Amino acid sequence: MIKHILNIFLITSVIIFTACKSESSHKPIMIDNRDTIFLPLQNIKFETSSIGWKAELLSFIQPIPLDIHYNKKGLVLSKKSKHGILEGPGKICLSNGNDYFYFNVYLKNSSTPIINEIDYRSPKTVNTDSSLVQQKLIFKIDHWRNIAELNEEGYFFDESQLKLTELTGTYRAQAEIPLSSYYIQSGSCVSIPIKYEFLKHEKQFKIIAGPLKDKFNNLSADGTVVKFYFNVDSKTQLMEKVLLKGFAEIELSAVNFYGAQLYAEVKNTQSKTIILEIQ
Amino acid sequence: MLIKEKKLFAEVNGKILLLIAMLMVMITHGVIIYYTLPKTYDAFVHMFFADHYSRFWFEPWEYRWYTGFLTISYPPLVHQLIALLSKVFLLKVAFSIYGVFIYQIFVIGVYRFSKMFFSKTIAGTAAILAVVLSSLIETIHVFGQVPTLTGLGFLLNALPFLYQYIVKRKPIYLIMALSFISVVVSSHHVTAIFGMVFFIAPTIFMALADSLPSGKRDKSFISFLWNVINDAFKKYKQIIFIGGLIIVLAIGLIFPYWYWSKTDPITQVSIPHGSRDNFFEYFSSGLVFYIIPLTLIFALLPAITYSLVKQRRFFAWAVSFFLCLLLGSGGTTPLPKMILGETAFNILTLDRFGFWASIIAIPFMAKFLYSFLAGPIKDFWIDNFGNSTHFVLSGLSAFAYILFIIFIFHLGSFRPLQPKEIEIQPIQNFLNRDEHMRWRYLTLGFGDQMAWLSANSLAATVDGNYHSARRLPELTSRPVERLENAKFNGNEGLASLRDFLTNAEKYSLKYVFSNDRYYDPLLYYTGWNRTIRLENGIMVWEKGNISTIKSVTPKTLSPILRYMWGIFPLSSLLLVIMATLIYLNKFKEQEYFDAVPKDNNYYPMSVIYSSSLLPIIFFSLFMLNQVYELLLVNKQVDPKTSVLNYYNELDFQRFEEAFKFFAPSPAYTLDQYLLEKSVSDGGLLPSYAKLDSIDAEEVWSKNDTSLVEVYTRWNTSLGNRINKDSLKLINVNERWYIIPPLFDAEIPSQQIRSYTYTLFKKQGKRVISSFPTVKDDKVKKPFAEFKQVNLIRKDDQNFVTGEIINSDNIPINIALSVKVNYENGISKIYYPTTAFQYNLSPKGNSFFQIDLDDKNITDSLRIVSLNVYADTDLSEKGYIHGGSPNYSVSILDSSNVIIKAGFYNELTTNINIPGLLIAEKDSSGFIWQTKLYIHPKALRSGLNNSFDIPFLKINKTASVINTFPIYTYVNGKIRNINVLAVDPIAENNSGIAILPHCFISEEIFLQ
Repeated sequence: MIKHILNIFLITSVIIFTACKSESSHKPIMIDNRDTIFLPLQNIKFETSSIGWKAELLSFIQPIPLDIHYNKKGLVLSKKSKHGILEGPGKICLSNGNDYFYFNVYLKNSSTPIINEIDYRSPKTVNTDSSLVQQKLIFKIDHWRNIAELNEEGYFFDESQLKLTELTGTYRAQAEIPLSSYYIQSGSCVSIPIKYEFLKHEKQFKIIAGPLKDKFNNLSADGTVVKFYFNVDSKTQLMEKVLLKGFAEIELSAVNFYGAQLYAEVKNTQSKTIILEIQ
Repeated sequence: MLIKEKKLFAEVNGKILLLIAMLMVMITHGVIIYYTLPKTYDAFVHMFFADHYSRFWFEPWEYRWYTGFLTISYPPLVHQLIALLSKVFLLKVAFSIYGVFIYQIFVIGVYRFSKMFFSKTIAGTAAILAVVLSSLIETIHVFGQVPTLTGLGFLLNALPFLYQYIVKRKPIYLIMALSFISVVVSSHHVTAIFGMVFFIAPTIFMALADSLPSGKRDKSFISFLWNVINDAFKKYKQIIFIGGLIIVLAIGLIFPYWYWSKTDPITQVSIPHGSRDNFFEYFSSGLVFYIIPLTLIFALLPAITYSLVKQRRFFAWAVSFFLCLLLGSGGTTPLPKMILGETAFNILTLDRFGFWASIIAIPFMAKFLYSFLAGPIKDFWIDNFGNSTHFVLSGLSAFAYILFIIFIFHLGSFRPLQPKEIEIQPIQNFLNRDEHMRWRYLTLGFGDQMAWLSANSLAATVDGNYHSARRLPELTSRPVERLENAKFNGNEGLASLRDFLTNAEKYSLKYVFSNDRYYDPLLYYTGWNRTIRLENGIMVWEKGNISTIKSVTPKTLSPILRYMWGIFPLSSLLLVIMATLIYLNKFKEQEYFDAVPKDNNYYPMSVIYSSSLLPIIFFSLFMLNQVYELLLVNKQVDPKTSVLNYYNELDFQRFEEAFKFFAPSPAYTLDQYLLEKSVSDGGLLPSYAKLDSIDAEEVWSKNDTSLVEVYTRWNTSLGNRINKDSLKLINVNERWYIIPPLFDAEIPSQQIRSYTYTLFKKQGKRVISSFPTVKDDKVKKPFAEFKQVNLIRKDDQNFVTGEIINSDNIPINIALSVKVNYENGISKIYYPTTAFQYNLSPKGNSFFQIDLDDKNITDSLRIVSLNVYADTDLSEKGYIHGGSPNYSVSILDSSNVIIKAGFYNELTTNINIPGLLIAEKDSSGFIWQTKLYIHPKALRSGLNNSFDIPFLKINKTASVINTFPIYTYVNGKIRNINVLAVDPIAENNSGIAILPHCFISEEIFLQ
């Protein structure tokens, strides 16, 4: 009895498995055998007898699903899109079930692109303490991000070294594009002029450090910490102020700070030492 | 005394009582559960797990907590059911519905369980008792432990079937018992394991006893016991068969859990739990874990004990009950530790034993209560003391108990277990925007609501709320429940939190949501910046230069185990439903408990009196004590008590109450007190501190005046602080009042102050795009320079000291780290803690110290080289360090000096924590050590303060290690260190150099 059951089970299994096996698809044939295709895609025809195909255009950065229409001879691929593509090598992939067929093509945009010239500067931020040299790179890209030839055929980049001005400021490589800005910042201050005055009515000393400038006479950056050290009553006092428009000021009570020795320091630069006296 | 039996209501039977109980569940627990949920201990954790299954049913890897853990570490059925409900209802509503549903199952379980002991009417009474039993109310409304309730509810339903199977040997009973036990296993593993001991074993014993012929039951107790054991041996195949099947189910149904616990064993050190305390020493623990759940049990203990020991068939239940009661007493006696062993004692939460004792006691309590309300005991009271006495006694007992129950329902309000409810929507919005989810976050001061936030977000946190599953060594090696409540775990908790805050890069921890300003000083001094205060009041702290979450390889689990986990537990519930329907249709017997011997209702006089009177005495005393503590206690009975209570009010910031301790005077009003307080407070103490311990000593007393010295120890996020105050008190009308100390306010000369701040603003995204990196958004990395880097060894300690400067024109945030390269390619990274200014203004500088491992470790591994990294980023915040410090140094001896420091606050805001970064330099400018000193008192705008700092110099006892190279990198590029320069300021001050490093709480400056 068990033997019979096993036999029936075996036969049934064989029938089911053979019945379920799908037939392999034959490779479709590209009718006009194009090696370059243009987007938007216009009717690429393939000869095939089977249906149930899926089609994708594989550019080198992304897959693009294609529309399929069947006719008597086979199928027609198309893609109606306003968008262009990054030009270059690509593949048309036709798949049917587990069968995949690839057709190598070269991708190009059919419409005339809008081309922009890019002037790229590096570094974007330059400090006058460092070299005031900047690399300039000019190239052209269209609005689908394809690089275009410069005026001279076969050349895509034009590189040059620029000597920058030593004046601090925000400059633009391309006047109308804010993002093309590059920045020249002031360097370290080379000296710290310091002076004080006695404010008679307030009975206070007003100490002014500045203008702080770098070696090219640029004002040091706003927010730069200026440390005022002073000795009074055998104690060392530290007061930090930040620079605004090249100057830092502190006010000290004449009662407490009369006779104090004081100097200012920024990074490794120190001012002369002054003694606070009523003039 | 023989007491006649009467029926409670002639027309009702047990089932009607059961239906009444189920209705009561709906109208009591059903109404209130949604509102008690947010205040429970565990509800949100279970909701988080439910949310996991709702999102990833077959994926056990949960990445949102602890950098990832496996959810197979907790039986899934309860969470899966809530997950299914949450597909229809909101998660909180789904949880509430499930909670009520499982309470109903539990009540049915109690009814069926009680029928094994007594009549249906008593079982019905037991069901009603289960609705109002304090231990159950606490379990669901205070602890939120629905899996425990689920496990026990189904276990109670399983036991009668098991009993029947042993007595009658019908396979249907075994099938039913096992199907219910399947649900227990799938819901709560601990109930399944201990249920075998405390519930299944006594059931088997009772069934064996009831199976004995009557002749064998009536002999002496020893003979009876021998006969039961003998019978058990005769039925050993049956018992082994049952045990074997239960074990197979327990292992098979949640096999992934056992697989996990075997392959990835728990390494967590014991976390203190109140249930292990000595309840005499820690009364609050005793209240929550013993008194509240077990008061009714203790009140009726004479009756319970009598009933348990009266019938021999209850012998095993008596053992189980008293053992549970003993184990539930925690560390009050050494016995639980001796019984369980050191390891189990320190791992288990022992309140569950008390809970189980209360469940075992239900039938026995119900028996007595039934008798008291409608049975022979009622007759006794009426016969002896009259109808009205019984009525008054019953009414008052019930009234006192109801008040007690209401108290438990509102326990979360009287004794807040959780912070106030936090609106999580603003946090969700923050996490969703600007790709903030690409980093981990941490919550502070959220309580269990951190789990609720996790359940509502896909963002990941380094913390979590299920410590059995965590495997991060920084967490498992310390007895810390959660990072978010680190302040409640003492120094260990704060040390663990500090590890995470300083090693933030390791965990890609970039955001902290703080609901507790207690942590602000620690966050600030470990390099975190306040970013934004959300609409719900939560402050967002951010750390710069943190990498996005690195991909973590999930712990893989075989697909078979994953599907098992997703299918088997739920199948067990479906099996129970199907089996129950079949059983009720085809196999249910009308009187299937015919094996249960009839019991008489006799109670001795002593039991009647004690168990009738104790409930009203216990509950009345309890409630009176609560009222007394709230309203009537004289908090000013003597000087010391007065002072201690005053500090207690201060600690909880109840300033109006605190003011009442001051001697009444028209010259000293509440307004004056609050004004003086606002002027003198605001510093580390007491604004960022929690009172840890207090001791008061009366040092002088004469007539009606007294002088009390108060020694307080404060717990702050930057360590403990000890303070001493002297308070003068006066006795007025038998109450001791504090005489307000003379307040000498320092007044700045200026009426209005001005100060110029330079603030920076980063323009933000230059291209509006959701792409994470856009070239034009990038700002160049600001430049920093190392002025010096040194490796120092002092005794066994190794550390790197140095100085770094912001050479750029914009404020910067610096991520500093030291990578120590050992032989054999081993390396380890260390970060600075508090001895560093993480944010620097343009041209600003900071000393730093980074502690390494001690000498034993570094010498055994053999250092090859050191890489010191500084990664910079533009910082808009944190570069205002505040204050103008002054100092001089007095030399005590060759090593000890006193830094006589002072501060002048020239800013337009208070400096909450005046701080100094102190570097010890030698004559060449070489830095030997860097320390942070913080002063506990705030400094108001325009004022000065001064303080002495004892400082131990180490340059004569420490040594420089320069036997291997130290490389310095700034933004990934190797850089040379500047030539060492003499520091004339330090040289003039005995080698001490300082920098201001203050914390300002006002957010406008956004430190």
